[in-house]
Amino acid sequence: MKLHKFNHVNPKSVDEAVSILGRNGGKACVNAGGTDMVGVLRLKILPEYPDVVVNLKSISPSMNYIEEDGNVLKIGALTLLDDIANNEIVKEKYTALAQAAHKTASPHIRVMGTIAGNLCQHNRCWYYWKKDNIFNCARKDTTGLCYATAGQNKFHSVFGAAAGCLAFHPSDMAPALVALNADVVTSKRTIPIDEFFTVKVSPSGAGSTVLESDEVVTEIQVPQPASGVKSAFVKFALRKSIDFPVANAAAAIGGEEARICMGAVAPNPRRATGAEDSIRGQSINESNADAAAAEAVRNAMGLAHNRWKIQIARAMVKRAILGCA
Amino acid sequence: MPEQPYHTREEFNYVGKAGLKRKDGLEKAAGTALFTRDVYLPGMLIAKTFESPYAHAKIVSMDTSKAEAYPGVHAVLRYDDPELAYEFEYPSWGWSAQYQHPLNQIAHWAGCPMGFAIAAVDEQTVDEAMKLVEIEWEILPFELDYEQSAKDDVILEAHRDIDTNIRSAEGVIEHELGDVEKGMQEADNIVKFTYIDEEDTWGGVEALSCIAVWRGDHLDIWVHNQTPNPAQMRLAGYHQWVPVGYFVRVAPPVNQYTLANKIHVHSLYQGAQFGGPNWNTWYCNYPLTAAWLAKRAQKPVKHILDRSHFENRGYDEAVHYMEVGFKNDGTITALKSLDYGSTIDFPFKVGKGTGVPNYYDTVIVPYVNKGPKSCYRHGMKECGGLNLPYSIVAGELGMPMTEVALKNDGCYGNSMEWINENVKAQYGWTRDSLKEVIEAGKEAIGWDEKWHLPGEKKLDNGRYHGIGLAFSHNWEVDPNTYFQPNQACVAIQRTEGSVKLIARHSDGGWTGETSYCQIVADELGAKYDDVEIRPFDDVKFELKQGMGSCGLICSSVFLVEAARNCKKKLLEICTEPTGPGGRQIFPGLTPDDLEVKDSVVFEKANPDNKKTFYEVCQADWQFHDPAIGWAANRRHGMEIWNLLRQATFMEVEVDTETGEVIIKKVVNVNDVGKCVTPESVKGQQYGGSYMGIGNSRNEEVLYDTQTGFQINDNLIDYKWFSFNDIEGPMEQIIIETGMGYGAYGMSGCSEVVGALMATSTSDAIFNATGKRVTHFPTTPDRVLKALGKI
Repeated sequence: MKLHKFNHVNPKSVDEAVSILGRNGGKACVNAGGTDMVGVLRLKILPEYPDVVVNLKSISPSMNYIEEDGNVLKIGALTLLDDIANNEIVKEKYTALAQAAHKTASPHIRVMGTIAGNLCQHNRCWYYWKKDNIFNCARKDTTGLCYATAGQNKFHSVFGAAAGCLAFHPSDMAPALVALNADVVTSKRTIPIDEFFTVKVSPSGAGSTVLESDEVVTEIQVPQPASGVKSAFVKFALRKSIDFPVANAAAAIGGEEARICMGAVAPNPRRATGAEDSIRGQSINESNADAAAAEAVRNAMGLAHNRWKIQIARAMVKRAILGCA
Repeated sequence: MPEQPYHTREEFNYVGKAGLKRKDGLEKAAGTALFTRDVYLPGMLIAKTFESPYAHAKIVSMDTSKAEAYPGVHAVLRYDDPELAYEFEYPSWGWSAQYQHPLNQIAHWAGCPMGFAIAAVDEQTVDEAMKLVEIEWEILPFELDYEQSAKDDVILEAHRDIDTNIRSAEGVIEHELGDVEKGMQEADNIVKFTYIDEEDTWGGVEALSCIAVWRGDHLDIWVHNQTPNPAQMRLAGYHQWVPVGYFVRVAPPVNQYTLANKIHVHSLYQGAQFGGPNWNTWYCNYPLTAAWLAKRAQKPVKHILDRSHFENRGYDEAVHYMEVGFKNDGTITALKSLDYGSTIDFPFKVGKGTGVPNYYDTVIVPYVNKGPKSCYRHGMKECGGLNLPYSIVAGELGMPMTEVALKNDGCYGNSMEWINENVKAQYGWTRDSLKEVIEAGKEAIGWDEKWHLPGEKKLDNGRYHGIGLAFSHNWEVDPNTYFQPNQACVAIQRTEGSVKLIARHSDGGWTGETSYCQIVADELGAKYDDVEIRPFDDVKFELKQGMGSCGLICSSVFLVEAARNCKKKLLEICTEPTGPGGRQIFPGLTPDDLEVKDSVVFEKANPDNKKTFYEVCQADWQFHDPAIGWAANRRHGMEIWNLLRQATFMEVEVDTETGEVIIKKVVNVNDVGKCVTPESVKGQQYGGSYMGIGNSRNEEVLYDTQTGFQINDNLIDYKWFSFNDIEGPMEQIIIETGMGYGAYGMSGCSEVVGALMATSTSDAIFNATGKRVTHFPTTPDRVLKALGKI
């Protein structure tokens, strides 16, 4: 299978990249590590394809860094997942983030994939990803169906649909960043991570974030966890060598703080606020971790084939909490 | 009783020796090995076959004129073109009976290649031209479920001429041994259970392709296929009656000749073929499309298929309703099964490896609107049909599986005592293979220390520990049915004295070339490095296809004979008087006075009287015949009994919160009869392990029931395992009892290693949790369901 034809441009700066995106009015897309986007182009899964691919790697050196600035960890948008997984500062102070990076995909992909690319990746639904856009689904077309509703939904959302779509958000980095209360800095603004993800119907595939068509992520900022706060990330996947999550969870807990986020169980990363309330201020043990995990999935509602994911998500939340003990 | 193992031999220089340089090693390790997909010819066009957007539909009319006129398109071939205007209703092995025409008018599953094919300057031009073809469809109802299909009122188009969806080739098969009702009456206990194996897929990493070029009236063709001979014969208009092996003419040839000798099929290295699709009728037909397009375009054509990884389904998929009767001491008195969707091997192979005297199996094989079903990476259902009843009996009685296995071992309902007595009477010796295999495996995994009653060992990490066993007989290809008209030639090159093994062979990835050369070197007395085979070209000699199922075992028999014939001829040349004055190379000696070793002929009584192969070839060469030995498969009608045993011991931990089964250790013990290439056997043991574990844990093809499309037909959503997905260590043990049916008593083991992973894991899960999972793959959701968590 050959890639769809497009113009490939190499900007020298973020401003130039944004300018190119603006000039092409939604007919351009950005390429960071390329591990997600190349598959989209190769399989021809979308109704509309970009005329222009803006290669951010050409400005990579200035967007590839991990540095502490006071009480904030700053990570360049094009920082490789492998670098995050192996950074000593991240491992020590932002443990969930290092663990999430380490659990993402495979070693080969981690040395290509970037943190921003991981956040902005396409949803993971087999109907959406079917070659040649055989299923022109609700995520691509406002008149389309969500085939997973009555079809095979073994890995789909257990917390309902968004914009009519049951696809799950596949990011491993997102729950960790949500638990750590990060901000996403773009070429236009700073967006709290809780507000970064959304579900939009888009024939060009730009339907997972609030980013506008001429906006790119430039940096991730993570506040240093307060003293006594520990963080942890856990993931359940059918393959350990390379796989998207069946469910994952991240937690940052300590003192009176508790932020817990579940991934791969809903169209967006999902804060487990009930679990946070349940565990906040408590000394973590097996019993209260289990009770908090039960709270996390209290409103989950399985479909015909995916009820098992509720049990997995519950186990992941419990283990993420226990990881903060 | 079985005949004595073929070709005994006491001493070997190369057979069984580790550390030899693999004949294909450098190419593969260096990345220079050529695969069919790598072939590019000057001026070559790319061709694709259209894929159906419906699960079941018929083309009513089709307009290809716009595609034919599209710039860059060189040829279009349609289902109704005169080249293909004959009936493709060939006999087949049944799995593909509904899918034989290379460009079918009817789509039998969603994504089915059919209708028309286009050859153009590049792939993008093909894709664009395909969109210009206008088709009027008659959309037909489809069915994906075997049991439902057997009951359906709607008759699928493929079988419109009869009033059932049950296939005519196999239809309903009944297999009987003893008196099953009497056996059930003799039982103290009867347990009924359902054994389900979901659909898996081929998943080959090299998608199918075929390159055709005409040179005058000669057709050269490269096929990604482990059975180049049937592909070649199909181009010549013949169909091979599988399994009996002979060919019948069913169609006109692609050239004007009635014989296949102007069709040259080249078989390069094969990227993960694993068997199956080679036997599928359509895959023998798809080179026809390339050949006809190349003829129309008068250019080389590469016909590529990208969906081929996933449309080929494994034939293990089935639902089995089983019933086992047994006595309180663990003796199984009767076994009964009703199967939907399985094919012939389930009843055949289960009976071959058990002493259970009473057995009745009904197999119902209906059509469904899914891709062709073939044997590859298979055997799980045979192993399941044998091991699940044994495991259930062990569980019901609180006995270790090892004891139940030994108690009920046998062949065709005969006990091991009876078999051993008769084997000894015929061979003069006997060995109890299963006993040896189980003892070795128990020691390696620490069975006696680790086995416990089900669900009784919770670990500090919160998981439950379990240990399990599955076993089977040796894998075999029955020479009564599956042997083909194979042959091989061993020739000493007159110019330099090197040894050439002349035969086409399709690479199965198990270094067959190395093993063949080891055998020839030993039998001829040549140095291993002097023996060479380049098996890719069409030399009109064909080894048993390298499809994995016992290729070496079957070929070994006539390879030994060819090498021995070559040696006989060599010694005759050395001693026969020829040329002026009737000169002899070894004056005054007879063949019995000579021996051959390390590519040197020498006098037994005086080893210093010697000549190298080169010297023999150079001496009066113009007066001697060449030293060539030839042999063919001549074993039709031979009776085989399965005396060798294979076992897998599995140690697991079960996470009862997630349903995850963590493999902590795998021990494979394989009685291969005689090991030719130790690295190859161990490679098969390792490869079979990871592949079988992945297959049994996660591999499952899923369909959208609304449209009939496979929805996880990619390597992200179809959970193929790698070695990195197996947590624990593996230990491989080889046993050589010499009781196999190949040369030197060898037999195959590779497929059975993979096939045993599922039921050994299931047995271990039961030991860990006390809950039985008989629905495969044993995905976490099924384990959680068994545990009552969902």
